[in-house]
Amino acid sequence: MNRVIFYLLLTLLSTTSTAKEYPILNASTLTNNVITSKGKITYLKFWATWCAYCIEEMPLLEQSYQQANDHYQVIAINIGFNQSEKGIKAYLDKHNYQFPTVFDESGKITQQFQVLGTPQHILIDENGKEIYRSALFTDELQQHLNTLQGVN
Amino acid sequence: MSLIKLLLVPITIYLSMSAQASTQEYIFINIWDEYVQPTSLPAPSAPRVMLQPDINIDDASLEQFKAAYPSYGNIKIDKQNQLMLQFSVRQTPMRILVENGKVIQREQLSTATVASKEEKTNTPLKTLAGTPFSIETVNSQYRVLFFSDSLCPFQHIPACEMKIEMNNHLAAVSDYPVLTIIKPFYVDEQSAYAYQKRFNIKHDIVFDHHNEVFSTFDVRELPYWLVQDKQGKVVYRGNQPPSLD
Repeated sequence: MNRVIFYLLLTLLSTTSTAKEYPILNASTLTNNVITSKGKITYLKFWATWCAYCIEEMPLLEQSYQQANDHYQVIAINIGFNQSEKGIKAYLDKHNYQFPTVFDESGKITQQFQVLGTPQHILIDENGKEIYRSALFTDELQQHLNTLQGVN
Repeated sequence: MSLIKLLLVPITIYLSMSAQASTQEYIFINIWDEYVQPTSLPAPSAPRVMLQPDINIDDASLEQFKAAYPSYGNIKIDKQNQLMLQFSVRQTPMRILVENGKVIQREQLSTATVASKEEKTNTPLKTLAGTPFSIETVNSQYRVLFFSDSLCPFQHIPACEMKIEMNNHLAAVSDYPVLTIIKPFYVDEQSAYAYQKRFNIKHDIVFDHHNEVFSTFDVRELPYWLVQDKQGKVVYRGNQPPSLD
């Protein structure tokens, strides 16, 4: 009986500790560059211009991009809901943000990554496995990025 | 003859009902926009379903909206955005007429802008009790700063109810004065009073009208603690309650 409980607990633990895995992201950025998450540690940020929390965090996203040094790639995904490509380009130009941005016109990428809120930060490994996910730009996210950058 | 009539009546009723049932009107709105730009709803042209996209929404927020706008009493969350994706709805407010599963009409609805209640001028900071508050002298008044959000509970504020409870405990047992600072995004000062009441807060609260306290202390995560020493030096910051031994 004890053994049964042990294996049940083990199964439960192994189930809960399984990291989420996402399909490979293939897309084109606003500057028509083709990007893929295949084989690359990727930091995704889902955002919209009407999202005050997203806008507040944008300088941190740019900083994360500038400090990536090929240790990981940064992709900003504009979720496309109540957004226009023209409006996003104007916003990014105004603030001189350089990070690659994908306009999720159909909402398929947002759905693919099960994003139901903005902002949403997702860090995935080379195989698409989730390393970390949070709604806001947390200290823990910064620590993950620092580690990847070799700061820690 | 009368037998034929008797048979025709229910058939006609059935046909008419099935024709109506196959046409459905969907209105997609975004409740966060409705607070500032209410939609001018046209008369229904078929049985109407009101939908809120499953983006930045939870049941509590939807219930709050329904209470404020009873005409939207039947609105539901479009779970996982299934209908929004099926009908390719990417803008709100939008009216979609569907017949036999096919979109036959799509209409962007018009909105009216309501003047914002929030003053554009630089509102001086004060506690909810009315005491003037200055960021420059915060360390002379408070040692523990708790950054929170009156939208709690909500998805971007994980475990907020538990952490507010922990902070209340900290404020009750600690000799160090504790201050709660409320994020101003999407809410007004009234929501801070509601937060105070809802979570039974006994210590001081400041509604950060222009997000300046958050910016000054570079706080973006919520809920979040920051502890200063008497000289104003930050000795702790993090999303777990500080140890004040």
